[in-house]
Formats: sequence, C-alpha cells, structure tokens
Amino acid sequence: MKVTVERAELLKSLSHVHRVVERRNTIPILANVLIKAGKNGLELKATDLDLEVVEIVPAETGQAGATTVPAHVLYDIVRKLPEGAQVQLEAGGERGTLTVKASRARFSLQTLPEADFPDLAAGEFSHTFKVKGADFRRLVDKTQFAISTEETRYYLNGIYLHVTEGAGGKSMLRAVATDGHRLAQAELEAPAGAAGLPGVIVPRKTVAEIQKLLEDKEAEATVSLSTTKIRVQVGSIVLTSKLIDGTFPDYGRVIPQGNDKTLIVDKDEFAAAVDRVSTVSSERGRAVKLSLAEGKMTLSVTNPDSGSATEELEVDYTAEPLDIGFNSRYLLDITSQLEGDTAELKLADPGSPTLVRDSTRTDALYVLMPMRV
Amino acid sequence: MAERDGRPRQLPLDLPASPALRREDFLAAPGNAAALTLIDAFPEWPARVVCIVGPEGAGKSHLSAIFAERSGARILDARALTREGVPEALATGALVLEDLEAGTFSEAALFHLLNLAREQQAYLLMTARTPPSSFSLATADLASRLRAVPVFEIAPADDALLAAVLVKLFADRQLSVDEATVQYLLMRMQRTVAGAKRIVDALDTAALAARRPVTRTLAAQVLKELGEDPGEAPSFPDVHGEED
Repeated sequence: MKVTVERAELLKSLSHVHRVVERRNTIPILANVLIKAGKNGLELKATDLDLEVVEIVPAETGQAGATTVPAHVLYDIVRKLPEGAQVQLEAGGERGTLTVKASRARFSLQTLPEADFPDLAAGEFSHTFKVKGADFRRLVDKTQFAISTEETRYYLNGIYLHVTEGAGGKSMLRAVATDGHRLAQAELEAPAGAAGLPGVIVPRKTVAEIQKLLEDKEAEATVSLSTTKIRVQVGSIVLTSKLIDGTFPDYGRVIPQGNDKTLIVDKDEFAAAVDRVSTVSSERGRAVKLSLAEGKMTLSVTNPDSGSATEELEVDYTAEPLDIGFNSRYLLDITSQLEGDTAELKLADPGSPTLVRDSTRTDALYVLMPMRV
Repeated sequence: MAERDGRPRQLPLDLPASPALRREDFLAAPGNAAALTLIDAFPEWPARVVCIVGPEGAGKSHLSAIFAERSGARILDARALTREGVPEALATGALVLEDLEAGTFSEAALFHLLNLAREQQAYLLMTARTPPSSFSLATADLASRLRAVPVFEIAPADDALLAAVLVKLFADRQLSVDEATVQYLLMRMQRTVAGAKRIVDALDTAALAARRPVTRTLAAQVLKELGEDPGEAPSFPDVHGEED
C-alpha cells in the first residue's frame, strides 16, 4: 500500500474516526484504525464493536492496499505535523509496519492485519430519510442532557427516536430522553421516508458522535434505521451503530396535561437568580425552593452547613401561592435549552411533575420532577 | 432516601413499567396448573362461563390477557359493568370480567350478562379473589347461577414460584438484579406475590430517585422504610456510590 494525502484532510477525518476508539481495549485490534487505499481515495474506519465510523478522504493512491495502525497514535502524529504537509503512508516494505512520512519527519508504526478488523454487519435498513443536518442536530442537542448515566438503566441510556402524531395531527419525528428525574422532548415534522419508523433507542456514545458529525449546519444527513441499527451519513462519513435493545417507557404518561398554575419568567433573569442562590447549596442537595405568589417569585436555598440565600424576581403568575423545590442544576440545564426570552412553567403541586417550555415555541418541552424540601 | 436526615429528596418521574403478559411469560407452577390448563385448553372448556379465583398477584390478569389475546375477548372491570353495556361487552363473543368482588358490582347487570352469554353461547372468564359462590347476594337467581360456575383456584405462591416472580417483576422493569439480592429479598419480604410486587415497585422507585442500581444495600433500606424487617445489615459495602 502506498498513498499520499493532504495533512488537513487526513487530520479532519481521523478526528472523526479516532473518537470511536476506546482508550482501553482488551481486544488489541479495536485500538486500531483501518486504512485502505483505493482508487476512490483513502478509507479510514474505526469501531468499538457497537459503533463504527467510516470516512473516505481524497488521496493519491500509488499502490492499493490496506492495514491497521493504532488510532490515537496516528491521530497524534498527524496533528503534530506541519500545516500544509503532504503525508505519505506506506506499508508492505518492512514487515508488519506502516511508514508515515511528511516533510522531514518519518514514523514507523506497528500494524495488525486488515483481515482481522471487525466489521459491524449492518444488515438491511427498513427506513431511510433525509433531514437537514441542523434540524436533526437540534433534536439531539435539546434532549441529550437528559439521558441517564445510570448504567443499570440501560433502556434510558440513550435517546428514544420515533415517529408519532404531533399536537397538530401532523406526523412528527420525535426525540425523547429521560433519567427518571427530568425528561426532554424535541420534535420536527417527519421527513419523507420516516413514516412507520420503528421506535429505537440510540445509545449515548452514538448520540455524541452524531452531534460531532453534524457540526456543519448546512450539511444534509441521510438516516437509515432498522430495529437493531442506525446509520447516519453526512457527506463522505458513514456512522453505523447498534441500538439499545430495550423498551423505552411509555413516557407520554409522565408529561403533565392538566397543570393549571402558569408561571412566565424572563429566562436569563431566572437562570442567573437560580445560579446565584444555589452558590450556598451543598454538593449533595442542590435544592432551590421557589415560593410563588401573585406577580412574585422568591428563590431560596438553605444549607445548614454554610448559610442561606434568597432572591426575589418579578414574574407573571396569578394562580394561588405555591412553594416547590427543584434541583438547581436541573433548572439550569433546562433553561439553557430554551431558545426564546421567556420560560413558561406549568405547575400543579410540590409533589407532581412540572412542564417547562419556551413560551413562543412548541417543538420542544421539558418535564421536571420536584425535590421535597 | 435522603429524607431520613432532613436533606431535600429528589422525586422520580412515575415512568410506567410494562409487564410482559404473553403466554411464554407466564410462570407455570403446581399451584396455578389448573387455571393455566384451562386457558391453554380454550376453546375446549368444560363450560362457557368459568371463574379463576386466587389471591392478589396470583396471575389472574396475566391469564386473562392470554385468554383475551386468543379469543378476542374484551377486558372489563366488574365494577364498570352496566346492564345497558352488556350487549356491547359481549360483542366479540368472549369477555373477561375482572375482579368480581361482593358488593362492588351491579347484580342486575351481572345477571343479565350471564343470561345473554348463555343465549349467545359466548365465552365468559371471570376473575375473583374469593369464590363467587361465597358472595352474599340480594338476587337469589344470580346466587344460584354463580354457584353453578366452575371455579379454577390458584394457590398462594410457594418459595420457588416467589423467587421466579421476583425475577420476572424486575425483568418487567428492565432491571438486572443479582441472585444474592433476590435471595436477600426472598428471606425478608412478605411472602406473597403482592408483597413481591410492592417491594419491587418501591425498589424501582428508590433506585430511580437516587440514581443507583438495585443492590442489597438499597434493598435493606427500602425494606426498612416499608416497615419490613431488613434483618442484619449487609456485611459488605455497596460498591456503587450515591450520585446526588
């Protein structure tokens, strides 16, 4: 194998694929990236057996061939090469090594045979749709923070992606995530080809990689799904991942429908006040109490170890007075997702879920369980 | 969990579990063999109208769900049965009437249902915690009708079944729990299926609230809060820390 590739192109592509490679691997070849030179260019591929990313970069192939080398090492080498350098990769000369040459630097890397590199057999995809990268990214961005990190709740360790009928009777592509304390839901009008989509749970690591692939907001993503796998193609990058084999709970039942106490608050003022009063809260209990009365909200935190804090805000609230506690971090997580200037909270009582949304947008909503304070 | 020391406590969302109610999910045991045989024998039943009797959590609703799936029967709570609703209830030619309990249903409606079911040769599966023949009823004709209904009793669960039920209840909630925790619970919980349901519900909620896995330590805490004797505290420390 002999191939020459522009450093910037190689670095960009390696930055996509090397993240898939775990730092610690019991199976040695999983630490490697597969590089394959052919007439279409240079193909790079990395996998952790659950997630696989393949990208093709333009390259001048002198001699076709393939091998595998440690992904993080190759990434670090290319990262440190001078800008604008032409990188030459050559394997097959000295036994079992890949030579990396650029300007006057020369590296020799141990390889493992290409034939041993695992393939994530994708199988057939039942549904394929195209969606604007920015739109798909929004679904992921708005919900990702609510994914559970508790590993034994494997069925909550991802984003539930499904097609459902929205409020206006339209078919919507909806993303939902919950960790059992809060829930986030975002949706967009279902693209052509998404009808009848199986409801799937996309794992957290895959979600993070999809976000990275969609950094270019103008890009178009092609999403393919089966009941066991998802594939997202953006330009010359193809990400294929297994899905979480579990049942996402019937989340609709925890989204409050009848909460009649409406609170409208300036989002930034609210977030800043929550952040300020929570300074005195302890690491273990980050509760902030909201005391609502007509036109007024008092935020307070009491920490027996360090002291207390209160702050008053003018708000739009006309229902009967209510005291309710929330985890301040959760409030900040949610307010940071809102896009408009004002937040709308629909409350019931101190023991029931509260609905939070932008007062001007209906395509995302958040549900937050209170804390007993 | 933190309420004991006065710290604020995060409440969890009430995310519903979806119990597995297919035939292959039913845990067969000597105590429920007669009732299970009946359901498996459908439509070759000894009578068109039958009743399954057993304690809370015995599997009556699970058997009803299997029957409903096979027969196309609707499932109706006995308390919701009205005289006017009887023809509609029997529209598919089969009906499950759940939780028949003396004093909670309309005698006129049930009498009409039994009559119409006989007339239409419909299948009717009733479930109850006590045999309907023991109900004291105002309508003498209804009492005699009910006495004639064949009853299939489910006996209270034995230890082997309780262990399997615990594992199934955790599996319904997609929770993986080690064998040691299951054994620990079995030794200390109320030894009924209803008791198993209560402890699994409470453990699921507590684990979700505290963002912890279900472990023996958590089980001990929850048993204590439910007022059941947790016995000796677990001798080994919990390997999983509390996140919040």
